[in-house]
Amino acid sequence: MSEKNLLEVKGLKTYFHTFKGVVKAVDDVSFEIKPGEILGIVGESGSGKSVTSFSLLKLVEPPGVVEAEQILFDGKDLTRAGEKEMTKIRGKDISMVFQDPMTSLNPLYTIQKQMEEVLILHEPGMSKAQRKERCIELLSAVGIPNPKERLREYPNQFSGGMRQRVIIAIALATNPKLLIADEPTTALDVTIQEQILKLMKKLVRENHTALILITHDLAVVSRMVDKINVMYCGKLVETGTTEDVIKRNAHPYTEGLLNSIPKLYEDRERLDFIPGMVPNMFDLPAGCYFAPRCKYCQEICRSQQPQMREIAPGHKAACHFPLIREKAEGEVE
Amino acid sequence: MGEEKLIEVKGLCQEFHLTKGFLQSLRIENGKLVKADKVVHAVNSVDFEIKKGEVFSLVGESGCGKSTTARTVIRLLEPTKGQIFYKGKDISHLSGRELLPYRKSMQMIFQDPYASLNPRQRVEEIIMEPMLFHGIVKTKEDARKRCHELMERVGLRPEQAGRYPHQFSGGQRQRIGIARALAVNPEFIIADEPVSALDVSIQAQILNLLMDLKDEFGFSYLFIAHDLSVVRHISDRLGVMYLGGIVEMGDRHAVFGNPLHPYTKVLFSAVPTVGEKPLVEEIEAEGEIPSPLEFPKGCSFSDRCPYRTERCGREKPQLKEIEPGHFAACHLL
Amino acid sequence: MERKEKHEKNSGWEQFLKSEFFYHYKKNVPAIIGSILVAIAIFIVVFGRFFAPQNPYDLTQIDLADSYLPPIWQDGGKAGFLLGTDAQGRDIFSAIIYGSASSMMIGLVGAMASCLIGTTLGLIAGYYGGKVDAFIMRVADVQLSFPSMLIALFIMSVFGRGVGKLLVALTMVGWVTYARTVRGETLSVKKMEYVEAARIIGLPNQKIILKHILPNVINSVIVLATIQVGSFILTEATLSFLGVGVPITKPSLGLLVKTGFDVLFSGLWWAAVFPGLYIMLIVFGINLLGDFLRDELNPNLK
Repeated sequence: MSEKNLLEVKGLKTYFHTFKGVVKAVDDVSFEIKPGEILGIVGESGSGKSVTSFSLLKLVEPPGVVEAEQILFDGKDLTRAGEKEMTKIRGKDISMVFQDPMTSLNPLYTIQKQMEEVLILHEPGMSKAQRKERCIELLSAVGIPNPKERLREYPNQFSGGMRQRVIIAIALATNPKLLIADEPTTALDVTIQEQILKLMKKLVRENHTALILITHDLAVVSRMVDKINVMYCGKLVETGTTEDVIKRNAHPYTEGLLNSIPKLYEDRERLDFIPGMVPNMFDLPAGCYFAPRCKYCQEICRSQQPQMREIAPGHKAACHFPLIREKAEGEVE
Repeated sequence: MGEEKLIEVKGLCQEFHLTKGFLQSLRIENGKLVKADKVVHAVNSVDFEIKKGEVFSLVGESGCGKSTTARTVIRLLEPTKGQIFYKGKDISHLSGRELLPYRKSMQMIFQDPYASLNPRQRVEEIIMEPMLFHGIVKTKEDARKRCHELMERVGLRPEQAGRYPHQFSGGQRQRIGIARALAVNPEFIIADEPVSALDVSIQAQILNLLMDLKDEFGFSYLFIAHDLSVVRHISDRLGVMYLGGIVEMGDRHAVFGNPLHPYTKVLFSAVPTVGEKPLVEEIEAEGEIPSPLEFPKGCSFSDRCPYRTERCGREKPQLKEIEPGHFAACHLL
Repeated sequence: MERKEKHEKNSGWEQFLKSEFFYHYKKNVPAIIGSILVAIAIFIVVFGRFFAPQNPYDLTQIDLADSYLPPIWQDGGKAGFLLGTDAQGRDIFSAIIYGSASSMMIGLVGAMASCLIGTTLGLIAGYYGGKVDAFIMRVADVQLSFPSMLIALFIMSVFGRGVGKLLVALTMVGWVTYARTVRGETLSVKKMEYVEAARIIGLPNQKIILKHILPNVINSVIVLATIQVGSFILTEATLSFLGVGVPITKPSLGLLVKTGFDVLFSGLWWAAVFPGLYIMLIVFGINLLGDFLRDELNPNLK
């Protein structure tokens, strides 16, 4: 893949200035994504994974403040883009799918109205007939049977999974270059989750759309994506190809996260877990944020914050003692 | 494990009437005014038993009736039909006062750590309330002492007893909920999706805690979950529910080793896993879960089942013992 | 928030100054203006009679010769009568002080009584549901289908003037708002898992309502009550102005406006304008404060 990057984020910082102090929800995060690539951002609650995506779209509301050295999207620097420009980009070049399919659609309008709305806004050249044609095409692409009739129905006539399909159809209506999906299947049942994930993967591959999939579930990610960013307390702690992160993970947090997933095909009386809990965002440890929970923690980890460094080409981790998998399992360098 | 039956549930049905009063039940059909009640069959003739010291799990997707079953067993709801026996005594229709002695022996751990604790009560009030109410301790001083012991036991610092729930993280709140359940020395605990709202790294901590407590106090659990991999680790036996009925039930090793019902197989193949080889051939259910308002006439899974035959749409299969202790409700077996 | 202030073991006041509630308050100019206005009004109610130049309801202190004096800064103004006098020679400034005490008392007691009755009925309707709920809510619906002023007017005209009767009328009009709001919130709180947990413990219904539901709906009640004090002051003024409220011998801002209004067009504007202005300022202050409380105490708006 020697294509140019579609999105280049450098030094993204989103701070919330609340009465208790400053929350560094996203702290100095850099990553890039190529056209048609699928990137997974994984983290637990409070890791800043969702705020990252809101920051890219400049949807962070006060008391949040977004700063970045650079957010280069398709040749444009979004840090300098005004609200007017952003409105053009949102929904057209970058679109989003949110977690809750029950509240993402307006219950008062038909599916057709809500789908056409995006087209009217971003594809003003289309005629009425063309728009309807496109809506039907999109609905059948996301696997909704009888799209013609269903266009006239209201969101409450659709089940959760079906609504999420409609939302995906709306998100893809303008052929965006980048789709951001924030926990798109968390509110759905496993059997439905499976269907939706497969569908999304198929669609973005067909349209050569880049996808950022935000989720707390490493298992979901490992099936879907090309690259993974692991976040912890607003920091990027590890990034690399899916293979790198799942099989040769270098950061102890990634390791802990993977181990704590209950295995379906293995009997175990007790599960592995990461001890302790996510630190308070107002009172973060001085050194590595993961140090208090890390079983490999050394003196330096408690005092000095590790920087991201390359472990293998394209595989980076922010750890003073990254785990080297090829040498010996689980051993410290 | 004792052979004594702690809980026995026979032919349990739970129906909810959506229409309130006479006026709402009137509808116009084909130009005629008809009276039709909208009834949700949330639980439809469910049988199971839980032995002393056993962990029995009910697994299924949303709307399958697993939570309603749990709430009926613990008598938050009165069953529409069927019986619930606690140590051989029928408690299905006991009134509030008659239930009091059983309230001490049965407790529940809830799904949502943010909704399960009264935000206006301090932790010690939350934990002491049940002890004082049931007279398990004589004085407030004893109650406070026991409350601190319980907090320590579930992994909380007793000096935080004066705090309010919002000052704790999700995992800690779940521990508070567990301490409240333990406060009355119960024998039987219903855990309704106790980890599904928690972060992955915390889930394992809580599951381990529940297992440790079981070993220490010899509880029996009714464990409700949608996540098969969670269930695998903690249950002795399990039942798979779909649309209000149990479709497969048996020993953990039997069900996980040799899943029989097509729906169980679908569930298995839908569970996202990290780098594990699937145990069953991958099959996928078609379509979505039908609404419990409009039951399919035959097998409840028939419209989604990849193996359906003509008979499945016509006739409802009963639970049959396929191998010793392993039941499934499917015509194909 | 506010409750924190009560419960913390170390200095409550210090804690309050550090709380999120106070943090937001400091940044909210309307809230500060509102609370200053309310604080001044309360101060006048409590200490007003110590610095009022006269007791306008004590006939021995009034001199008819002083009638219709203009405010002190106008030609003909007389020292000691800051805002002028009315037809009986009563000092308007003192009359406002005495009148506001009784008007605010009526507003406060009326709102408290409505709050008590309305909240209780709302809790019962929401928690028990069924026939009790249907009955309470239908009564509320009937009540709401008449303009509340009309109901109050009707009650007062039938039973006659009087502070006690006025309070009864205000309560009969005022409880509905609480009942409806509290019922709605009870319905949602009732579904919370902590209420289920309380039922599993076996707590009796009254205990569940008092310990687990009431504390979680009280915020809206506080907001409603604050705003209602203001609206009741207005209602009292209106009823008194129409001649069916407080008896003519009792102090009341509404009555002051009325007696002043009778001579307003003869150029004696001060007797009506100053009491009216004062009512406006109190109600304005209370509403500003109520708006702030509503934003601050409503978790949905955060």
